[in-house]
Amino acid sequence: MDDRERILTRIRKGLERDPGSAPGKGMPSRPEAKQSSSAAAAGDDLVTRFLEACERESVEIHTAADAAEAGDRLVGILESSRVERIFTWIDPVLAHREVEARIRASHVVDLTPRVDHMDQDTFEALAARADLGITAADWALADTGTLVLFSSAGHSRSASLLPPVHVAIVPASRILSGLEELMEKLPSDAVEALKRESNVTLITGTSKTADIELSLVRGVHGPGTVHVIVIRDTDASQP
Amino acid sequence: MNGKMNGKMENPVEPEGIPGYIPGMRVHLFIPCLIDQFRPEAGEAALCVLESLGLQVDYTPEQICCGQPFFTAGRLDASRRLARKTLSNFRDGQIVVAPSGSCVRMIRHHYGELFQGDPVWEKLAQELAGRVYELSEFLVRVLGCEDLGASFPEKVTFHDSCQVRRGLGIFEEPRALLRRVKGLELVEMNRPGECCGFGGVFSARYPHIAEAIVLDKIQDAASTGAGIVSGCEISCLLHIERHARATGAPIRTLHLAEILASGLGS
Amino acid sequence: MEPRCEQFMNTSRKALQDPHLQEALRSIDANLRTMRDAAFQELPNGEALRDQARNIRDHTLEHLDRYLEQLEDRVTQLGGTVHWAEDAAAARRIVEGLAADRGVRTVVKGKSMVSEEIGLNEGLAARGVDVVETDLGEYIIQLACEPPSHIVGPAIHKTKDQIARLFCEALDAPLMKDPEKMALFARRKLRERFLTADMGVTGANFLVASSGALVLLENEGNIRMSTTLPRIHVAVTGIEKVVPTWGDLSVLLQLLPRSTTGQKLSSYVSLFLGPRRPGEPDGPDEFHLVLVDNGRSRILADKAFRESLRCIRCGACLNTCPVYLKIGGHAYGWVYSGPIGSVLTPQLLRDRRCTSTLPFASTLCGACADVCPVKINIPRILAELRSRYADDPEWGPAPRNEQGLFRLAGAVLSDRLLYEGAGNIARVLYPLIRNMGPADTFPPPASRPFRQSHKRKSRKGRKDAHRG
Repeated sequence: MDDRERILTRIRKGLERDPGSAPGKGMPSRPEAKQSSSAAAAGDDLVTRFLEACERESVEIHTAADAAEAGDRLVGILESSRVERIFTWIDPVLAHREVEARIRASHVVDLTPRVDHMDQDTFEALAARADLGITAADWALADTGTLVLFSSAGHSRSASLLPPVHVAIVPASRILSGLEELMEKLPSDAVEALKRESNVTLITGTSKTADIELSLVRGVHGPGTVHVIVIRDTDASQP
Repeated sequence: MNGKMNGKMENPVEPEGIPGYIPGMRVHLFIPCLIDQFRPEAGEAALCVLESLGLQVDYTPEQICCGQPFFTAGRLDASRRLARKTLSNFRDGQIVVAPSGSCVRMIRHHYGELFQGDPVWEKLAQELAGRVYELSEFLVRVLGCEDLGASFPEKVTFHDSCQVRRGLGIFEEPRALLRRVKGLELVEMNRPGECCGFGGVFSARYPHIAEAIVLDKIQDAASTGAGIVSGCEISCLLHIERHARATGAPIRTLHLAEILASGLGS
Repeated sequence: MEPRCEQFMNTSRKALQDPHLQEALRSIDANLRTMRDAAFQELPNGEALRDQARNIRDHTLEHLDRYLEQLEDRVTQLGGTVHWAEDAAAARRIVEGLAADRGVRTVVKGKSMVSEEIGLNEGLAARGVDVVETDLGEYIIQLACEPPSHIVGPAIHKTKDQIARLFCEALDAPLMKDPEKMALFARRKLRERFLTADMGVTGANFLVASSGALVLLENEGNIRMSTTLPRIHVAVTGIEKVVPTWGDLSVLLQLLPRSTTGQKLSSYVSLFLGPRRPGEPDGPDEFHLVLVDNGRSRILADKAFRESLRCIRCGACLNTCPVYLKIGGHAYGWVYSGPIGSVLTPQLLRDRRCTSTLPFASTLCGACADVCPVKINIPRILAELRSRYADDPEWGPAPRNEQGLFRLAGAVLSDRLLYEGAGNIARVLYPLIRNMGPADTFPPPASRPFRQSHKRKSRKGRKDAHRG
């Protein structure tokens, strides 16, 4: 018997079941769990709640009526932060012609590799050199001011992690109420997950620590400054 | 057996005016060992309070200990032995009132557990659990009486013992009673429900920690400006008073019963 | 980590004399405890959530084998590898073996209590692997060669001056006064290690059985770094961390950060679903999950103790415990401190000689049970542990003088004459022994106990009645 068998046998014995019992079909039944849900709000209310929650988390908030305005906001952030090098997601929201044009016009250097295969060390080194990372968000949570980022070929984890500043452009239509709603958007099982993201990161506010005498310090490892640009126009996610 | 205070009894509260009072009502008074040996005044006061309301009070010196200190120390056999004595002493179906939260909690919540599966004693335990009360909950919830006619013109703060507040859910009752005491000014600590650090066997094993904890409690109490800390659990009060005296803190302790008996009778 | 629980008396005494520690503990009380309470006051359905969380954990434990099998199946489907370790040595061998096999020279580590439980760092170091703790608190105590003093803030007992001096000595840093400067210094130092490490080792906050996801919460970002940059990610975890579904996870995610620091959500909640997919530019190529038993299945088997395994390691019980807030974490002598430490350590170690101090390191006040997000009845478990130590030969024999003392006390209290006699003797002796040892903890006995006054009164009463 290997460790696995011994552990499972001990567990079954401890639960007073026959150690040799066959797994049986399906998982154990459970009483229907009543989720205590915050009332599902719609539209504008979600945007307002999301922005307020972001502010409480010391995230800098910006709104834009459409992709062009979002591009303007972005450039404003790049200029006021005196950014020279950026690292971004490869994503339709960022690739929107209005956004892309403004980024190009701002003369920042875009370190983002746009090749199919790059060895990871080089990829990371580039991300580490950037002053600011730009991503979209797959979802956002109004209750807590949370950004939800799924990894994929164009969606690196590093863009929202390595540079000291992170900007997330969020189409308003992607704002959900809270955690419960988000759970429905996650892969329901491994088979589905295999076709999708290997990583989902929920980002709420900035990186922080209070490990030294409980005094708060921001930007230890992750970004110390986070900006959110919410685009109200639903067309924004189309390139 | 019937105990009475010296001299004539004044009944400042007419028994018939008490919602829960039944004429001829008779209760057992359970005086636990700590009160018996270390603060008999609290026992006298409890007796006085109950009699002032017109109750017939029975006391038996056969009753010494409910077994709680042994239970919490993990000595279940000794605990059962004392529990059986208690069950026998109070076998007659009469209400039992104790000026002691820990004893009431022991009987109400743990006697059944102690005798689980025992064909005789488990039933007796459950039956007794249904008619045993801590003093303040008996007065307020059973008798429906908050004003006993007491007077005690002092500033008082109240310590919520863990066994009383968390153990029995008693929080409002002592305060309701104290607020009706003439001249009494009730002030609250920052953390009235914080443990005093006694914990029975804990303070015997780790007195240095018990002391560190109670000094915080004493400071909290003293900061209210009250000269008196009251409570429903004598072990807490003895612990607080001992260390208050040792550090010269300007507070002393009085059991709730002692305050409620103040100004009653002659 | 080598247990030192039998030193409780000495360590707790020293702790009371340590002004820096005392200040840190007061700070925990004023901050962490207060923030947790405020967060729960704000929650409209806090009680209901706690009930749900308890039910989720209980259900999972009752079917733990099934959920572990489902988890293993999903993780494997996602391209990860599941390893099972019966005990600490087996767990170490697995990780050491992986490191050796993959040519790992440096490891970056997220905070993991289980890894300290099994002595992982020492094991890897002995085989020439450089292990760097990346959580700032763990980084600090690693440099100081000290054990953690709190489940969530391991270096909470150290002052900023102590840390500044530590950085000078161990890292050649200039002497800094500002926590921010120190933290950013650590960030720079650690970034070099993140970018060059071969393997990232983490623990697990939760494992979602239905999807095979590993869930990790943090505020710094060191876990994201440790699981994004190195080519191998190894997660070491106790077998009890499983939850059945995403829905269950969302209940626990609402409770854990609030219980820990009063936050609604940690800065980062990461869900890992296997190694990176083809085409993803970053993330580990390999994912390994090491499931560690190390005594947990034995706890599971004991119905009186099973609920100990509900624990989600939030630390709320520490922050609210009157004893912990006076003596800090080191006195508990092992990885887990505070109320949950007193519950788990005796059960995991099963070494009476070492751990018999712990179940008694509590007043049984119940403050911990009031704040536990999964409603573990810690005082009840501590009382049960006390009775095992007193009565159950499987837990080791009680010291004989202790047995004798309790038997004597029990005999005296159940016999009226013995009791009254003892009381009389105590009254006589008290003035003589009042300053000696245990007598010190008792107040002076009253000159006339209640029963004595009452006896007289009752006799008088009878006489009166007779006359009347």
